Amino acid sequence: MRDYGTIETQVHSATLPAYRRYTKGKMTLNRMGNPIRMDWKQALVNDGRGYMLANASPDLVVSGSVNYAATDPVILMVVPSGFTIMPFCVTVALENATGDDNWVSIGFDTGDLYTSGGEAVALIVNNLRSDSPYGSSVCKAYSGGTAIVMVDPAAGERMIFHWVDPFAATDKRACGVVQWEPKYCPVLVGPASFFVYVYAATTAPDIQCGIQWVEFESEALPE
Amino acid sequence: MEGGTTLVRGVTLPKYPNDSDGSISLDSMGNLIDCDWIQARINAGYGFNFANITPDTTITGSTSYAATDPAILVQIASGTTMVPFYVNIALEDSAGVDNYVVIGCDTAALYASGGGTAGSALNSLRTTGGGTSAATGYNGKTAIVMTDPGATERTLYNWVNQFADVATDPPRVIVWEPKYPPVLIGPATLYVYVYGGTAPEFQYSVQWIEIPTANFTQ
Repeated sequence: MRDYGTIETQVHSATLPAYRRYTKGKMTLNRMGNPIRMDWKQALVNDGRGYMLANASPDLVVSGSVNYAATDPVILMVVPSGFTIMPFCVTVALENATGDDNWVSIGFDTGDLYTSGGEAVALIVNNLRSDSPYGSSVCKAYSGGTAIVMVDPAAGERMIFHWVDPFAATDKRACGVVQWEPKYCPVLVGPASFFVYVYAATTAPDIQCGIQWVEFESEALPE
Repeated sequence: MEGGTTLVRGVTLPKYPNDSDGSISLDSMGNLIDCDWIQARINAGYGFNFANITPDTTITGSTSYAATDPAILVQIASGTTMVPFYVNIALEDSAGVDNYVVIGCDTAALYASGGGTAGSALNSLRTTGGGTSAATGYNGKTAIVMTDPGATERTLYNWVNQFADVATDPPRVIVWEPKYPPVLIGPATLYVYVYGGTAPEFQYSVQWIEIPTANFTQ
């Protein structure tokens, strides 16, 4: 049988290990001998490869649309070629949604679908690790403060989440907060686009929003 | 390349070629960096999504339950195993009472006729690379006719809301994300019933991974 070597382990001590990069570290075990696991997406955030976007100021809301239009998302993120993102959280808080049937729909597709518009209300992109060891995200983000014009994704579109609330009157019980935090994330190999539609039948909803994702070079993906 | 060892991850992420001996990645604290097997399958391009592609093109459910009339049906072919891990349904204009969503699965290919893919698409959860799905999806925009699964039916999830008052009801959004998903060895069928006093209109997303059955059962 081929010798595959050994895996060295070390029971977790009061002082956390601080292994240097590219060294052979010892796998940390608890006192019951269980490996201490680190979710790989959290490891990417810890590395500085996690990013977030949000309204530049909480009181600067972005307006959604009256009625759905495939070419008019309220948020559009574009991933450049050579990089991959895995979005893991979208939060949309709806304000003044006095019309009925307010919808939030999240989707993605191949290609850079941005055409024009957007950005009248600034979205701020930051690293989820405060010292930003990898600097800025390679993605571009556009808000529908000025209407975005996007190429219609049509049949290649992947709609992955839908949310609706009636809000027929200014409701006293329903909460207009949408949180999409999937257990398993989609994989957007750049060039690719990630978009969020927010629309209603009669009154365009104002929103605050946040998107969070991990980002890395595409060549690290399985072949 | 050396196998069976650990290596603390560096600035550059490892990118081992297929079939090579990789090292186990640790973070700087010695923690094992693990990847969930379903997420790994999605990353490899074998996660799939069947959903509305036009968000305002809603699908209509039924006015009452009929075992042979699901609102969504995904059928997996022989030779492939399907592990469904996510179903999302958002109900609109459900002015009637007692709106139900029921998710189930069964052995065998139960699709008989009807249905279609109007307003929907079945695509990979990875934008490029990976494989082609061995599943076929149908939605009830045109009524689906399914063989009654009968006594072998596995009902995985039930949801109900009264919706007597549209103005004050809470959001009508269902997300089914089981901690331990079922395993459907093809041929097999996953289906979703959506029905109420007034046929509810809805949008949806159904997601799963696929694995060759030969790999799965040995």
